[in-house]
Amino acid sequence: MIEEGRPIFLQIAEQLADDIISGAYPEESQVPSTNEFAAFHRINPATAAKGVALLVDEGVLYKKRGIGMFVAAGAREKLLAARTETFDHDYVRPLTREARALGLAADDVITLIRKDMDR
Amino acid sequence: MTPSAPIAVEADGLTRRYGETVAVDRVGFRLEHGRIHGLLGRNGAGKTTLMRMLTGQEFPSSGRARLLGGEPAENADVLRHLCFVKESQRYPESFRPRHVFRVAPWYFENWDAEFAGRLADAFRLPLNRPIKKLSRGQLSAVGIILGLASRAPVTFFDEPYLGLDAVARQIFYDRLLEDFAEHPRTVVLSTHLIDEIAGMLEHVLVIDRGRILLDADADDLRGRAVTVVGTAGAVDRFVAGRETIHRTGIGGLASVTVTGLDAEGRRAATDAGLELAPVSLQQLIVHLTRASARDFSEAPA
Amino acid sequence: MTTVELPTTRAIGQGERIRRTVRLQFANTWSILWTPCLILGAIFLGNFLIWAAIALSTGSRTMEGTQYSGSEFFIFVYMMIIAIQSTNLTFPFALGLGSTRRDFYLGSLAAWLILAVGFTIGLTLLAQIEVATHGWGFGGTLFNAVYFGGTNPLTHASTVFTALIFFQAVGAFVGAVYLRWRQAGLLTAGGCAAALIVAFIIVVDLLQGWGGLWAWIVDTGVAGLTTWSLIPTVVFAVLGYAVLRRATPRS
Repeated sequence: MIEEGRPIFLQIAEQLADDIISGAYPEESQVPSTNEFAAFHRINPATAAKGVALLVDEGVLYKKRGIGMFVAAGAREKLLAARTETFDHDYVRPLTREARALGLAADDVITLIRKDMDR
Repeated sequence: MTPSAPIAVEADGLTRRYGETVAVDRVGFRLEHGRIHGLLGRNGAGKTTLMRMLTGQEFPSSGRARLLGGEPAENADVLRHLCFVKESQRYPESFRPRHVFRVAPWYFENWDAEFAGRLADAFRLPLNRPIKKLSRGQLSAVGIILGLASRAPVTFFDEPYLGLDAVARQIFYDRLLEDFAEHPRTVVLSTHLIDEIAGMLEHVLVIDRGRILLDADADDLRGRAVTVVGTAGAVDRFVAGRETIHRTGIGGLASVTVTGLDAEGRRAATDAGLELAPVSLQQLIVHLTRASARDFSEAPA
Repeated sequence: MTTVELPTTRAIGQGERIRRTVRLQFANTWSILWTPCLILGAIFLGNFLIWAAIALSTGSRTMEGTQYSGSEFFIFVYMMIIAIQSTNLTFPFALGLGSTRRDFYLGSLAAWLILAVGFTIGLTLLAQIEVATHGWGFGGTLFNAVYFGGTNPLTHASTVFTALIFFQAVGAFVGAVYLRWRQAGLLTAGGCAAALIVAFIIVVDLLQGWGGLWAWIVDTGVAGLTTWSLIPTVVFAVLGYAVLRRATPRS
């Protein structure tokens, strides 16, 4: 789950973001504590805290004194917006590159996409 | 940038000579309190000698070590806050593990006997067997339990897992992290099994031939290098002018590890049809020390 | 850059640190207490059986020639062995736990002192019992060997005690030499000792002083000699610390 070659705290933040987007952590729900993350991923608690702090800075999470970390209102929208921005590079580019390698035309690709999204 | 924590351990021009050999050569660094620091390096790089000087077991040939603000050698006020677990610790004749744990609270004011008991269960340590008759792994478990249950503000582990199988090592790492989360302290862990503990470290010191090669934040290091893979021509074109630390290839393919590749650089690489492979902390250190990978493989059982 | 602020707990004074080293040394109760007692008991039993055998075969209950038993001497040598062994075995452990060399040395000396007191009381008592029972019923002498000249319990006790701590001090010194310089150190120390003895012999020879030396020894007597031995005792103890101060545990 923790990948090599990338800062761990970034990966923690990303995984949390994924879970928020997917709805696993709805808005205003509580997310696990940093110690729980650390124990689960077998990483340093400070690193886990850094990842959580990143999301707090972005306004995705907030802290309730004495209780824990909660998903902020509007968190999902914020994350979706950020994701959409990188969608092109992260997903479209690899897709088109592979399509070119296979010799597929743009229309072929679009047909495949439509088929999958309508499913 | 978070404000830096107070300094727990400090070295300043620390040197140790044995006749003609220089085991530790003008080493200097600062370790912040409350973090887990990794002291990484090959066998014989100087890790143990360095730790022994930092804990007052060995006298420096020159330079200074400071532990919690004071020099450690013969300094009872500072040593009471220290626990040093070494792989080769010798115990008095006829001692059994329960004797060791009986003596421990005299020296470690934060000793948690109940925690020690739970750890002994976890490691399946026979408390009543004479230490002479313990297996290598069980002997290591004694040291590890001492190190963890002492809850000393500064705890050094010098390759404490000799003889422990992978399961037991994982128990050690898990318990260490768990207890560290509840009771923060300064932990310095030396090892040549880097990948196993890479996730736990916050700060990394790499020592090679007695010199500090690398002194960096673990997360910084993690993003520092990436391996670019593709056809030799494309790879060479891409890495021209960049800092490379390792190169390998087969047939017409090349795999080159570069440092300092930012997000834009990564896009350029993928646009050029090259693949980016992650570099583990161990690989990074291996490349940086230009060491042969053999020395970093699985510890002998 | 600030130094770490640790929650202040009560300071651990020198006295307590020495006390815990004493406890640490005594944690090995078997090797430093029971084993020598057992061996002494075995020696006594062996001797007793011999006396009984002699008495039964000769019909006599007083023996002239048995006043020279050297078996008790074993205790003194064993004190030295204890000092060497416990230094060697407990030092790495004590240092591993965070003790200073100084606390370890002082604590070890204190532990052996206690041991010496204990053995002195024991041996003196046994000597008195021996006198009271006329040699354990067989005229045997184990604890009152002629060396101890006289049965005054106080003199007896102080002689025994002084001799015990002399051997402990030698043991402390030898143990420290071994810890610091290993076999090479022992060989060198042994060589130096031999050289000193040879030098001493040569000097006495040159000065034709053998007669005077023996006279002085007889004059001073066992009690006197052991009092003089306090000087080398202190010297060895101090030298032992000087050597141990910079010793490094190998493991």
